[in-house]
Amino acid sequence: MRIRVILTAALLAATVGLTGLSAQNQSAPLTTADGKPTLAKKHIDNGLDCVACHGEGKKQPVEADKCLECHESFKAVSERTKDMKPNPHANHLVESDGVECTQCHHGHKATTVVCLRCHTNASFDRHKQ
Amino acid sequence: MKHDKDEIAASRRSFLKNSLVAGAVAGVAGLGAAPAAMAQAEAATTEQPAQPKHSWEVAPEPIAASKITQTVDTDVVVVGAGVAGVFAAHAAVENGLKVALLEKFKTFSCRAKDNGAVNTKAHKRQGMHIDEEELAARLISFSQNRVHHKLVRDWVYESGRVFDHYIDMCEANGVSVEVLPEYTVNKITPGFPTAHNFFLKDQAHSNGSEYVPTQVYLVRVVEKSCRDKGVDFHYNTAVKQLLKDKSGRITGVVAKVKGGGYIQFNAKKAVILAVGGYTENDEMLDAWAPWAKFAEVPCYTPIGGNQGEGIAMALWAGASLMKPPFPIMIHTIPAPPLGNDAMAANQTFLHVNKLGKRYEDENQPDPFQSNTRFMQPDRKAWAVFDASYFKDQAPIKTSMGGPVNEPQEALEDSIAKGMAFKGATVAELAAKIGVPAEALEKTVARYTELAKKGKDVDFGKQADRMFPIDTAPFYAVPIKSHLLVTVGSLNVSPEMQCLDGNSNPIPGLYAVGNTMGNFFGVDYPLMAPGISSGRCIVMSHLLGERLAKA
Repeated sequence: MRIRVILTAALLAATVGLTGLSAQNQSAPLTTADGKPTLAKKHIDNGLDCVACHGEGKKQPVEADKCLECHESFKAVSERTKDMKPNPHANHLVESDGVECTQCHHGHKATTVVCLRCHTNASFDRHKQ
Repeated sequence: MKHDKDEIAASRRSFLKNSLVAGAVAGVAGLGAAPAAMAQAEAATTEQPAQPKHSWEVAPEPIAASKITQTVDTDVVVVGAGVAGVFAAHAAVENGLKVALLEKFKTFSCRAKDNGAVNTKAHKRQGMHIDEEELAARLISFSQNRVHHKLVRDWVYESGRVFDHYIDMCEANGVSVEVLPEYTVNKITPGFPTAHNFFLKDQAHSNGSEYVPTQVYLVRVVEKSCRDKGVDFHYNTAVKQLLKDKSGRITGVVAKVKGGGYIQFNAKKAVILAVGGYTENDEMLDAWAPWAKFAEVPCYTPIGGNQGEGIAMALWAGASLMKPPFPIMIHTIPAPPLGNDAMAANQTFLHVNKLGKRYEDENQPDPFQSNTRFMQPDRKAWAVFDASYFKDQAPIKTSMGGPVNEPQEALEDSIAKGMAFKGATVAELAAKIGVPAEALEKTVARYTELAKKGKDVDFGKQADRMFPIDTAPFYAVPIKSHLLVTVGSLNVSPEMQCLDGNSNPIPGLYAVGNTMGNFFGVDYPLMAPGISSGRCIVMSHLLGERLAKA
């Protein structure tokens, strides 16, 4: 059952991707396996195109430095997520382990929170008022 | 990355064609003249295998000179900017050497809290003194004599001087230092107060019983000092191969710049490998420390920082491995405070296996609790206690190594998340954790009887660590282990120089930090908290000083 749901979601995502991004002639999925919008979708919704992150010509993987061209810095991002407890952008991985944006955030699939590898039961729910 | 895979693939093909791995080290013309580049000492001295057993026995083709876009000449190349690498670079530059520090990530990395040292100025200020001979003897004994005594003694006797230097530097830069109390566990595993915490007064830091990774304040100061003193930093630069000349001397490295070309670094004096451990390399874990894979939680950072590729490079170049068993660091203590149940390793609780039976004196340092648990059926075990745990444990001095007294609400939170279990009766608890009810009832009753009697005739646990389990509700926390780091791999001389398969020093090649073997044996000792980081700081510093004099 679970597999079928994922398959359906993936198919759906692929279809949406094909049509939704036809203008850019791309086929990246716009929803993750669990039905949430991908980072790519969020960027498109905010008026960006593929080239904004991937560059011109041959498709380039997006390096973390690219993210920070717009999102400024971990410090700036951590300000925006300070309502989260614990704050995923202000911790020892950021301070002293050189964590990269792309270790958690992926353009075309769901976020993988690296904190959870060790802090296995931590939750990073938002607590916005 | 694609490029690298192609190279490895090419080398495998050539391996099959040429049979044995020779000294296929980059930039070498007369490969045949190089000493045997066998991965392991055994292989060099006994029969030669027809097929490689492990991928690291297959050296890749040397990176073509045509790919190298830049050459850097220096005295010392340090590979890896973890704690060991940063301090090696600092000591070398401070003593007049020209140093290049290469790191594949965008910055240095560190993650610890405790930095172990003996009889520093911080000790004096706090009125503490450690008996050096007793500590050295106990460390060597703990390692079952599988270590170079000189390495251990150098740490014990030189750490005061080396730390004083860095304490001065930190204090001049607004970073404070404090020695924390020893980890207290039981009478046969005494603790020494070696842990130095470097911290900022206005920022969170540990008072001894919680983990705040403040080591970054120390390393930041030293990294900045490296810059000020002229270390040539190359972050985002991954070393791919070591260079060896005809005489067998390691003369430098070839590194790949992220998103760029290859640089050749020529090292007049030394290449220092500070490339960490191999916790992320399944093949190396399987071969060298398979029991590490029993740990339920992988707990090491930075991600991608311990893949063992630097160790493989040394093996390609003819370095050998330390003699097994390979020491690793597995802690039962979880990674609090983010949702892990902090009481899993408490020595005050009863430990039962899936048969519902007690199997040990629970009053063990938490890393070694893993060893007995791994011997139980399915490697499963639970810490069992009752409703009066908080009151029972309140008088006990807690520390990082000892029992943690977690408030009831935190425990309830763990229960809600399915990380801990609660039952109105022992039988109900048994059903929840899936052990035979009758056996658990019998075990709990026996433990309670012994606790009340004040004499554990079954396992000899000290009386003040035992409490009756007779007040409902009853609790169980599954005991899990975290693999933190591997703390040694390459075979080194007592001067930290890498050795070949015949135990001859390899000119120009050194290993420090978790890459250096022969400092720890079997398990990581908790008697001297912070000794892992302390070893990185002190031994790297000594190596930098000695290279300058050599």
